[in-house]
Parts: sequence; C-alpha cells; structure tokens
Amino acid sequence: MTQQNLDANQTKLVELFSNVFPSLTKDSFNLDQDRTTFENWDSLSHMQLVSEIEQSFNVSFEMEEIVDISKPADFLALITKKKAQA
Amino acid sequence: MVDFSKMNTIPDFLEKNAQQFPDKPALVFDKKSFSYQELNSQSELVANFLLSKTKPQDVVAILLPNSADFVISYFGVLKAGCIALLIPPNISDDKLKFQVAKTQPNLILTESKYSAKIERANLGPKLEVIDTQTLLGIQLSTDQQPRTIAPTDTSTIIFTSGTTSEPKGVQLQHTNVVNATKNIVEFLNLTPQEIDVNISALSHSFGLGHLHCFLAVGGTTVLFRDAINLKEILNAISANHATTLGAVPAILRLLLNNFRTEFQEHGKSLRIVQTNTSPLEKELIEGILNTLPSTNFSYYYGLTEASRSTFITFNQHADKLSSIGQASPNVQVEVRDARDQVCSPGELGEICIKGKMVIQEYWQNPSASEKVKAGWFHSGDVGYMDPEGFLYYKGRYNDLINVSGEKVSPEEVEDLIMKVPGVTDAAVIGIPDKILGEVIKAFISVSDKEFDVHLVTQLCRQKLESYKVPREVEIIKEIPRTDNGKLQRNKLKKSYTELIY
Repeated sequence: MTQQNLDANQTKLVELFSNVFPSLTKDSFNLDQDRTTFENWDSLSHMQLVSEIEQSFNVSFEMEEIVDISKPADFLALITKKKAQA
Repeated sequence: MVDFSKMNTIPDFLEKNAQQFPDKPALVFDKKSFSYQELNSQSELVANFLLSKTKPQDVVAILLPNSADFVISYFGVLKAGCIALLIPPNISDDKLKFQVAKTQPNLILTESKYSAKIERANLGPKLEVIDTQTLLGIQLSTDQQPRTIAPTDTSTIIFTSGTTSEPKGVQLQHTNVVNATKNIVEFLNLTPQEIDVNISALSHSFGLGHLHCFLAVGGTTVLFRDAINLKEILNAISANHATTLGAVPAILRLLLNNFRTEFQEHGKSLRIVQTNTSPLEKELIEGILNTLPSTNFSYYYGLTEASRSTFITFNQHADKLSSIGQASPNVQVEVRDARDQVCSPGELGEICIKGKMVIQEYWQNPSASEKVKAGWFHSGDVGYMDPEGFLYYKGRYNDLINVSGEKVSPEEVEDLIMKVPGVTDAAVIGIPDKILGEVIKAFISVSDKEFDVHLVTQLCRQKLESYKVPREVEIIKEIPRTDNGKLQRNKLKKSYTELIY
C-alpha cells in the first residue's frame, strides 16, 4: 500500500470517527489514543464504528479482530491488511 | 432465602451485607476487589462529603462509565438522602443540558474525560463539578450524622426516550427498586454464593438492576467497563467461576455466532444467563440452550418504569419460546383494550403492569405521569396473553427504534430534521443492520431540487447522540400521511422492506 493510500485511509477514518464522536476534531484525533480515554467509546459506539468502517471501506472484519481493537490505529492496521488481501 | 424484611432502601443492600459479610468481595473491577465493608465505608465517605453541600432529596448528577467510582458515588449519593440522576456517558451535549435543566442538580460527580463535554453543554455556574478520581483520593471526613431515608423517598432519575421528542425522567423511589430486586431474587432464587459478571451500563436500568440484585443477596459482582472485549469477558467468567451473566441479545448473538466453543467452555460455571431489551428469535434461544445445556436461560420483559414485570426460563417452557413470560412474583400483568378493559386470551391490547416496583410518576411531567392509572402502568407495548398467563409481545403503539438496545424516538429525530432550512416534511424509521439490529433512516421532502442531504446529517451529528444520526437520508416527493395528517411510518417501512428483499 502506498503512502498516498495510507493517508487517504487515515483521512477517511478521521471522518468516520468524527461521525461517531462528534466532539472529535482532526487536530485532536490521535491514532494511538486508547479507547478508554475517549469520551464515549462504549460497546455501542464500537459496533457503530465497525459498521460504518466496514461499509465505507468495503471490508469485513472477523469478530476475533473486532474485540481486540483498542485504538484507532488498530482499525487502520486492519483496513490495510484487508485491502492487501483483497 | 435472602431476608428482605430489613431492606427498605437501596443503601440497606450494602449496609446489611457489610455487617453480615464484611470481608467478602462485593465488587471486582479492573482487577481490584472491594469487600462489602470497603464499599460501604467508601460510599459513606462520599455521603459525608455530600451532606454539607446538599439538602435531603437534592438531585446529584452522576456522569461516569461503569467503574468502582460509579458504584461508590451512587451509594454515596443515596446514603446522603439525595437523588441520583444517572446520566449515560454517551449522551449528547444538548440532552445533557436538558436533563440538568430539568432536574437542577447542584453537583455533578464525574471524571476528567467528560470535562470538555460538560463545558460544551454550558450547564451554568451553579453546578459544581466534582472529579471522583480526585474526591476518592483525598482524606474525607466522617464527622457528620447520616440522613434518615424513607422508602418512599426518590432514589434515582433515569431519562428514557418517550413517544414524543422530549425524554421523560423516570422517578424511582427506594421502595420501587427494593421491590423490583426482591421480585428478581425470588424468581431466580439468587443466593449469597452468586458471582455475577456485569457487562451492561450501570446508567441504565438493566445493568443497575443486576448490581442491586447481587449486592442485596451478598453476592459478588465482577464489573466490566463495557462489552467490547468478549474474549476477556469469557475468561473472566471461568476465572471467577461466575454463576450468572446478564447480556443484551446483541451480545448473546455475537457470543453464539463467533465464540460458541469458547462460550461453552468458559460458561460451564454459569447457573443463569439473563437477557432482555428486545424480543428474541427462536434460533438465539435454542442456540443458548444447546450451547449451555445445564444453564437456565431466562428472559424478562420490563421497562425502567416497571422493572422486570415478567419472567420466563426457557429450559422449563420449550413450548413457549416466543413468549416473554408470566408475571413476576408479586406483580400483576394484564392486556387491556382501548377502553381500558381486560382483553380475552389471544386478544391484542396494551400491556399494563401493577406492582410495588411501578413508578408513581415521572419527574415533573404530569402529562406523562398519566400513564400510571390507579397503580397500573400503561406501557405503550402491544401484546396478548395466552390462557396460561404467558405474555406475547407484538410491538409498540408508537414506533420506537431499537439500535442495539438503545431506544430512539423517531419524533425526536424528525423534529430536529424539520429545523433544517429547505426540509418541508420528514419521517424516520428503523432499517435492519447486521451488527446493530436497526439503524436510522430518514425520508424527507424538500422545497429545493438542489437540496444537500448532508445538511440533515450535519445537524443531527451536532445535536443528537451518534446512534440517533440517520445512516441514510432519502429525498421523496411526499411523506405518506393519513387524511388527518398522521404520519404513516409503516408505509415507508413496508416499501423499504419490499425494495431490499
């Protein structure tokens, strides 16, 4: 995957995160921020993120992968992996 | 059998068991264990802190995720004779402002990660913000006399989505909660040996009700912040030899569909699995029964206003898998017609509930309080009863949408969409989603051909909780309405379903 694709994925990811967490801005977005420190990254928003990201990136995650996601970077890594497999 | 005769208020759960089982673990959270004595004395310190800052029956808001701090703060507020306003952490800024304006708390117990949310909601200078992590870290005094609490005092306010756009504050008295707890303990035959894994939000009636039960019987609650890491939760069940698990149907589906073998392996110690919030499909019930054949699988129907009104244990009623159960112990359930007359078996009507766990009224909302007539709570849910007294749920009189257990009033979303310039009419329905059960779809009619639908999602994102934001917005020529102007959401739902399938 090229750097350009990675950047595009990250930009889209920020947008999807801010759909679920409206108070999040591009500047405050941190790929390595642990989910427990987000204002409301709970079970429901976790599944919302999964649902939105799957739809938007046209990928499908395994539940084994979903339960291990603890920061935005984990989503990005999974998207990159899935796109490489496609 | 647990003796409830000396338990009249919620703090009695903790106090009686702090005497009976002082060193027994009451709560395990984040690998830290709290004995009954520790939990009781820490909540007394919080109560003592609150005594100088409050009057009896003042409202104190709690905005915390599942944590030991939540449990200590909640019991602290109640022991101080105050009313706990339980605010779900995923609340929108506007809704937070609304709840605070409606209930006028002087204090909010919270943690630092919500300070930006509190600031954005602009809750006014009168509200003192207390960081519980700081509060519980300092030396609190114990020099004040505790307040006497009456069973009829209000204990808790939890706001629920109603049939209108304005949420209603469910005003629970101590006696409502104590009696609901007693009914559950009696039906499930809970004992002091229970170890419960609690993965549901304590700011909601489901998770909080579990906590009450296991503290009341002198059991142990292994509390999780959320239900995201299912592997960790399964490990906790086996590591703690848990006897009970409560989970919403969406979580049970995930467990069955993705971790069936692990669920079977780690769930061997479970005596009871409980669920509620939405009707269950036969495959899910049979899946749980086959996966955990020695475990009782119980479903209950209830609302925050009338907690745990019916119960069914499917293992004992293989021929009633589509039922939501019979009336709980000490509870009356009837199905009534539009004239408020009791329906015959099999006849559809409104599910009505009477019992000591039913609320008297909503918080400062006389019109909503009319749902309680002569002690009977009119649920707004439609169902029928069979000749043996088993209840069957058939839907709601209104069109509440269920997004993974969170109820969304379509009117709330529609009212907001109508504020977008150019929108002339709007209707909102729930559409199927493989992960969340349902998500929101909005239909709008507009005055301008060039209308940008992003304006709708943009405003919704600003003003609503994220799960209420429409996933899809579709412009249609005309929103279907009856001759007298009543919205026909069913028509939209039907045409959407026909299009998809």
